Amino acid sequence: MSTSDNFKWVGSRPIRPDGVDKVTGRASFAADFSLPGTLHGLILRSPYAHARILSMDFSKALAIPGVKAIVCAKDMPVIAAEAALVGGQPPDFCDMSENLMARDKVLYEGHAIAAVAATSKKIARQALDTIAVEYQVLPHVTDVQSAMEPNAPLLSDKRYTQGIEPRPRKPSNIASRYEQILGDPVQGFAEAEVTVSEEFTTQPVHQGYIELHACTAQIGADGQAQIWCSSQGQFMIRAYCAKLLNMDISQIRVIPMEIGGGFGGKTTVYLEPIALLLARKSGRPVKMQMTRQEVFTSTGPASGSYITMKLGARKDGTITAVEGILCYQAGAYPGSPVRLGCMTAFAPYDIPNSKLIGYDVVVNRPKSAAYRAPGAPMASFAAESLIDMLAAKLGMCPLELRLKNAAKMGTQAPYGPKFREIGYVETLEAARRHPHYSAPLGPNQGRGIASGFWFNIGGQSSASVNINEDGTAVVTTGNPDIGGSRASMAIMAAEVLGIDYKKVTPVIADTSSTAYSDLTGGSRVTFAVGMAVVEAARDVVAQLTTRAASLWDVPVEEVSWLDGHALARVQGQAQQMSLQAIAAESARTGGPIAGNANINAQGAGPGFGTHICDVEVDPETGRVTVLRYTAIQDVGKAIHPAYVEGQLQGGAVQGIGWALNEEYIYDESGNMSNQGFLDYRMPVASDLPMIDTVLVEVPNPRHPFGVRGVGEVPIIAPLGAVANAVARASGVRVFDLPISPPRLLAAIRKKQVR
Amino acid sequence: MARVIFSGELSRLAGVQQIDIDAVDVRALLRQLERSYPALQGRLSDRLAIAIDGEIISSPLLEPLSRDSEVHFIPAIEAG
Repeated sequence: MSTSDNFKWVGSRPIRPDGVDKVTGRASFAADFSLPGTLHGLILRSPYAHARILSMDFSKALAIPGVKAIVCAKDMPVIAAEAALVGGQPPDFCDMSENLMARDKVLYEGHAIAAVAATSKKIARQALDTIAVEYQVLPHVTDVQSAMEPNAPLLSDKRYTQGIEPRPRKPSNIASRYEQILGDPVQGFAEAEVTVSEEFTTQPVHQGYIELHACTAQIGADGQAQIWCSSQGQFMIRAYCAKLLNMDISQIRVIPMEIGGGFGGKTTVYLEPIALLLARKSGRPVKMQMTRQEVFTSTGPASGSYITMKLGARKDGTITAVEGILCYQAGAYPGSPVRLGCMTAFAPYDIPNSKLIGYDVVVNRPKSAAYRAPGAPMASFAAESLIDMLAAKLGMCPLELRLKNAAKMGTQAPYGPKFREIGYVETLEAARRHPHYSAPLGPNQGRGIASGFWFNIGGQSSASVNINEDGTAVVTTGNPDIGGSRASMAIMAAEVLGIDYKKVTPVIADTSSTAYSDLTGGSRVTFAVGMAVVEAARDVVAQLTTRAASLWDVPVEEVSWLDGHALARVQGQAQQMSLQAIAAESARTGGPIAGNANINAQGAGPGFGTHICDVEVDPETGRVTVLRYTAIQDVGKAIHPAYVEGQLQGGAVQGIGWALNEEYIYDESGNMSNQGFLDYRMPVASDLPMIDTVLVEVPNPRHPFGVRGVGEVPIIAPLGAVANAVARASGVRVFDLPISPPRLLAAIRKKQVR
Repeated sequence: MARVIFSGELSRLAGVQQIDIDAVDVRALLRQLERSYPALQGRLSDRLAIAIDGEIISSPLLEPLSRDSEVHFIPAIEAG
């Protein structure tokens, strides 16, 4: 398969198969589903940030007519510590179980402690109100720096910092330490003629998906369970529920509903195991749906961070060394993506000497969850701010400084391996050529640029391609469609088969109807599941040419496939037979025609992006207005350019929100003060200009069409790009996100006072 | 001989930063490493992926190694 642009469907922009249903409201999301006799499940949550549960009394709640079941942690199997990890890999199921339902302590406001199923929501709410819980309130800590202090309130007295030798004797909120060293940082700084260093903080931000978590579960008399839910992976839901509830995987069938946004936040379970427990106990289907308040207080945001970094360079701009300490809030249980922060912060650059230390720190907040490019944006904010400060100190153009130090094929990444084919330089050159980069600016306006890197991943993926008897095709995969993957799968199948895109129907199957696939995340689906689709479609083409050879009575080696037709010379005459004609003869030539592929896709090409941001700062109020924004990214090959552009635009907007407005605000009691979108300020369409995009295509040679993952990269650069633009517009650099009006105004006034 | 380059905690546990190992695939490499460096036993699959010649491999076992392959153990990549 060529990676040239000689494609009929790859690179085109057809309407997505699920588009009309989604814009007209016909698509079925998890909350739209219900079964006859369904009960309503609600969760009782802790009002305290940290407390011991002394007692719980369900007697009054159980006496309410219509209450059919109540469950708490005692209804969940205890997972032994040695069984917490499967194959040594996260997630930690002990932690996940306790996060689903607190056992003896609550570790954050919103931590679940019990759940009720009743014949109506009103009755379930009434039952929750009558559950008597006695707490012993404990000191709490929500700030990462405070949590690292030796005398900080401990979330667990059994947690000792891992990654330190010898093993610490005292328990700590620091769950683990990670060290990443390349070259000789001491020597690198000795060679530096200029250094810049600073401290940075970022706040936890929520993925902000529109669709609330929801599910319906039922368990039959035979013990077979079914779950209808919205998630980033039906197989993930199945595996986690089975592990948490000690069930066989074959006992659970998960039917994926449409998903209204996930961004990494739906790569774990919150409701599904609870709904199963309630369904098992009540003998009825149970439906659960979170409120927005619950989503904010009880589901994982991205980690907040405290970062110190130092960068050294020669006067010609050659960066000689970096060092830094990254401290990430994990929330109530370990598992922040601090390692990935260390790995990605300076990955766009060829820096021979680096030392980055990462600390994973637990605090009394909801357990952090994945959010696009987990761990990278906050580390990149610090790194890209420092790069910009270095450019200012050296009097260099920030883009030229980045180009001078840019990673290329053969560059050793800070985490060790050498890059293969990458397109970072191409994104910088595209930025330099773009009219945006040289457009004039007015008073109080500034322009910032920043770059970002993400690994991208492959993973286990399955696909089948079935040819119907009329020559149309059905492509079946096992991954929820978050970013237009149905369209991408149909395009790739159509390209290989050589038939019209509209003749290909993509289907997302439940866990009992298709083979396993890893979840939708890590920018993997178009790459990895796409590889499986291509392989399955090639399998079909091989069968089609064999059938044609049989019908023509010629050796199969003499039959080729082009543009949806088998071609051969038959008795000296050039002949062709369409896919439709071969399909019509399938019964007489061996039966149904279907191709399958089950792979563990490797070879995901890394992605790099460079963003340009113009802002205007109101010096009277500190308000920042984004005037113009351009996101440039190496996407390998865009299968459906419109949906790739959408990924870049969406990532940029989420990153801008991270930079300017979004933050969890906690009061002195450890309670979140802004539990809704009115007070938790995400950007809306009227806040921002059209996000311009440039797709740079440096093909990934390991994918049949050259695909690289695209979904993670675009959220990384905006934090630095916005901060760098604000610094130029206002003359004040802010090191603490978000750069909200009060924070920027305070910085401006502080400078004026000086 | 494939060249294995350790960093961070693995380097401390092994007591070396790099080693050349004659192995045809990842499975043979892991066996030899655990045999030669008992401190690495059980640590090479724990939350780690492998990069072979710059390409990150998830859940590696049977991936072939060439005579001049460069192998790094890195943290597993999370999905967002």
